[in-house]
Amino acid sequence: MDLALPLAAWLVPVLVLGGVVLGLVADALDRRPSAIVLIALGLGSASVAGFVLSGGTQPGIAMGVLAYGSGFTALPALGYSLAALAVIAGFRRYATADRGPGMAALIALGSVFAHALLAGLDLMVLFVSLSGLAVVAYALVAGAGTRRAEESAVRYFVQGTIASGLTLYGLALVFGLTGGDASFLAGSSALGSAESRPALLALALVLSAFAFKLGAFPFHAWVPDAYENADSTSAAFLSSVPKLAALVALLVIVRGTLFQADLFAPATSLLVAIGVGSLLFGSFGMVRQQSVARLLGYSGIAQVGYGLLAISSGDAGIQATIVFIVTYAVGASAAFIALEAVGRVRPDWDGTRAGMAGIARRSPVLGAALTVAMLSLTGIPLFAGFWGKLHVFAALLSNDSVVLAIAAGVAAVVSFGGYGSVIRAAYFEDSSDDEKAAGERGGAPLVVSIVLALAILALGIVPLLTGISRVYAVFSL
Amino acid sequence: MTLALLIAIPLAGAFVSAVAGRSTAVARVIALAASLGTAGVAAVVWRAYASSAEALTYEFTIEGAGSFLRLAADGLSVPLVALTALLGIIAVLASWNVERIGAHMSLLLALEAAVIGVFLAADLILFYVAWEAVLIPMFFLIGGWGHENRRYAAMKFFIYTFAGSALMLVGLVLLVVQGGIGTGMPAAPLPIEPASQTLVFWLLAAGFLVKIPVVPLHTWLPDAHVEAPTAGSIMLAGVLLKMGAYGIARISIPYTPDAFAAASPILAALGVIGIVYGAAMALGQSDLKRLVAYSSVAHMGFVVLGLASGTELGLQGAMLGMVSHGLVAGLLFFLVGALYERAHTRDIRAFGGLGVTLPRWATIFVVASLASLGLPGLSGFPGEFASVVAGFGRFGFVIALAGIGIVLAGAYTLRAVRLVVHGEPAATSAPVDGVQSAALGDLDARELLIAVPLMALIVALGIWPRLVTDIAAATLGALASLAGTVS
Repeated sequence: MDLALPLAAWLVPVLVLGGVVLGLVADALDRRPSAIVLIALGLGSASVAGFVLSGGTQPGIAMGVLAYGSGFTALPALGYSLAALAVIAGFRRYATADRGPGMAALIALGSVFAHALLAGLDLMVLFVSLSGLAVVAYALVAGAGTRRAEESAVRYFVQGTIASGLTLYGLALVFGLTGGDASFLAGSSALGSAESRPALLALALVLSAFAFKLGAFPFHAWVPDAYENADSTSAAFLSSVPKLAALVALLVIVRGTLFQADLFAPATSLLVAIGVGSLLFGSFGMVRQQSVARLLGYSGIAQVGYGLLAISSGDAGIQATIVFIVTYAVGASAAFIALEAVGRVRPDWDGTRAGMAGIARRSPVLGAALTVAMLSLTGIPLFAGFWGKLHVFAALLSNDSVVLAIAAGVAAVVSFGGYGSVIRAAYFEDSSDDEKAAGERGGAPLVVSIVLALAILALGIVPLLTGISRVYAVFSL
Repeated sequence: MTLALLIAIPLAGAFVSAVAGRSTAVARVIALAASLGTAGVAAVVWRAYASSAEALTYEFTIEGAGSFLRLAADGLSVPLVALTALLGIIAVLASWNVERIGAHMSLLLALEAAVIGVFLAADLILFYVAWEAVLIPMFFLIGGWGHENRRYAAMKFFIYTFAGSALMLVGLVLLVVQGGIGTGMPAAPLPIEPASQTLVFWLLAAGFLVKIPVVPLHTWLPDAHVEAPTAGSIMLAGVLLKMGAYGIARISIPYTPDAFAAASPILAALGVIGIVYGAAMALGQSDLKRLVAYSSVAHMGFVVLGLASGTELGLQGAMLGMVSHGLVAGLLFFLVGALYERAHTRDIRAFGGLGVTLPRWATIFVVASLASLGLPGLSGFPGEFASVVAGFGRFGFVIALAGIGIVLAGAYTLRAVRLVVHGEPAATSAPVDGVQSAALGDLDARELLIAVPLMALIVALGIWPRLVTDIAAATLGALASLAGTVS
């Protein structure tokens, strides 16, 4: 085992953890604003360091368990930036509430777990990071502090324990089949020569565990609940970073490391079924939602479907999965942080579409940022999300799955019934009462929304000029 | 670089107008300057292309692997780009007095840039990007500035056309993947394997046929037209509907000629159905704007029929029909909008005797209506005539059914003219409250500036159709031989 520990492997998480430790110390000294600043600084510097260190490096494996370099560092760096932006957008919320610094620290810890999940090449790392992310997620939902939030956190927790059980069984089975070798790379050959039925069972269990983490059909029930009841900045984190990590980790496991192609082949149809189910269930579910956060929850279910379909379509799907999940993560963060800004501009907002009526007249910039996020999630060109959808289509079609591609197209159209209704409420409906006096301009959440909207536009337009590879190559594994 | 300017100028105008458009005067000046500048560049391209007579004038590609920014202009695109640039000016002038003018002008210019992008795209991905980019400003124009039912109409417009274009995207990607070709469109694309042509063709057709639109995929159109603000209707009828026919000629015929030949009887049937159905529906309307909207369905039916024939005559007919309909429908929607601004109703039955009270409006309306019904000497005739003749040549006497539509066109047009222009002013016996038309003002100088040039072009094109056919001939000839090689 190579015990060398290159900078790219350890510096990034250490920066985050350092920020968390210092932040918690500051919190203990009752300096909550400083605590949030320290945590955000840790995340921000980690993200910068990650992007810098990922450039031009070949992927390597540190200590036999953690992949680093290229996308294995750049994708976590993206996760850290999104986490940092969520903390910044929620600055006032976290700096004023009693347990605010704790929430910010949870987001930071969660992104470290996400890093480990994404880049870990070991069963133990996989299990610990999945469980760690789950605990962070329960706590973030409960941390919103309302009774409904606590209730949905408990429900989420109960469902989560079942999923954890499945994960444990699955990983134990793999562990047994590989003869006690926890490393993906070593385990791969052992699994290849193992009995196929227990190996398939193990695969099915592992897939279920990931489906729960991703909120894919039929393990989706917690998603709308959790997103609706968590506060918007926590939801911005929950909907993007763990999904980014889990989808890429699944990609790594089933395409190239643990489960080799011939072993995985029979399970492809299972993945397709989960993917199409998520796609249709999520898209149709969106249309009737009144609560915007809930609508985005169903949107998350649908979007995961595209990612799973990309993974299911063989080698052509690898790049597609990466491009897709990057664009989705940015889009989902942007959407939830825009919702946080809506809450600032209109403090008595009840979270419904109707309550957003005319918000774009009140704050044109917020309206624009919200629109950019919605159109990107729909997959309209000029916005980042288009490239994700395009790559998924291309992967499916180069695999001759015309029907799946058409289903994905139809789901995108249906989903606009949801996304479009948000834009419709913001722009085309008139606000009921004169609200010149109430609310403020949007503060930090508005600024972060603008930053993310500009990022979406850049990720959407620049590839048109330079080609897709220049922009997204940084994330390739 | 010239071609890139055609997109960059309106786009820059849109940006500046959005940022600095709080002042009405600034927004007007910027919008007018940008649309005039675009039209100027379009005129330069027209001249250069007309004198060179090559199949392809300009090609503009950003160097570097993978870039999708490839632009080209040929006989198929130059007339449509010119039409778009012209109607761009008309739309700006027609929305001189809207509220929130900065945002309105910005959307209008963005729309113009996107439509020109569709016509100039020489890359399959860029084509799709521009195609979808058209939806966004139009969605906001309908939803933000439309009439009573605008919210519903905006959503319906977006979802309906997005449904078509999502399938079209699958078709485009399949074309690239199965054809084993890059995304760039060469001047003379090679057909893909016959085996995969049918599926690709119909996936693409889903997008194109919704946009044209053909019956029964047309139901978004009356709603969108009626609810859209005047400038939106002008652009929608004038140029957006042409995108579908353009797509068939630009992509379907060259890449999937066998499937196109196999499908052409179906396309012709859809065209004839559109001609008859659109005219019959128009006859039953009392809302003037809805009447013009249904007449658009009929006119686009002729365009589809001409395309379906796959002959040079038919393609020329389709091209003439597109340009003519752009001018005529643009003018009619402008006139209806101007009348609505004054009377606040579009109900035909509320008017009467406008020939006496609004002589200028009435004169121009009669000319536009006659052009719309296809009177020889005005622009509507040559295109429809060529399309029908080409249809006869290819499909035989079944095409005579289109004659029903031509007769009905005479009926609905003359009915509208009789009720609105002739008769007693403000007939009190009408089933709805009559409008005191004597109190309405006639068209002012700005409005004449819009209407008279359009009218002049309608006459000019009717007398001298070679204005358009000469410039399109080389490209359409090549296209016809491509379509003809397989049938």
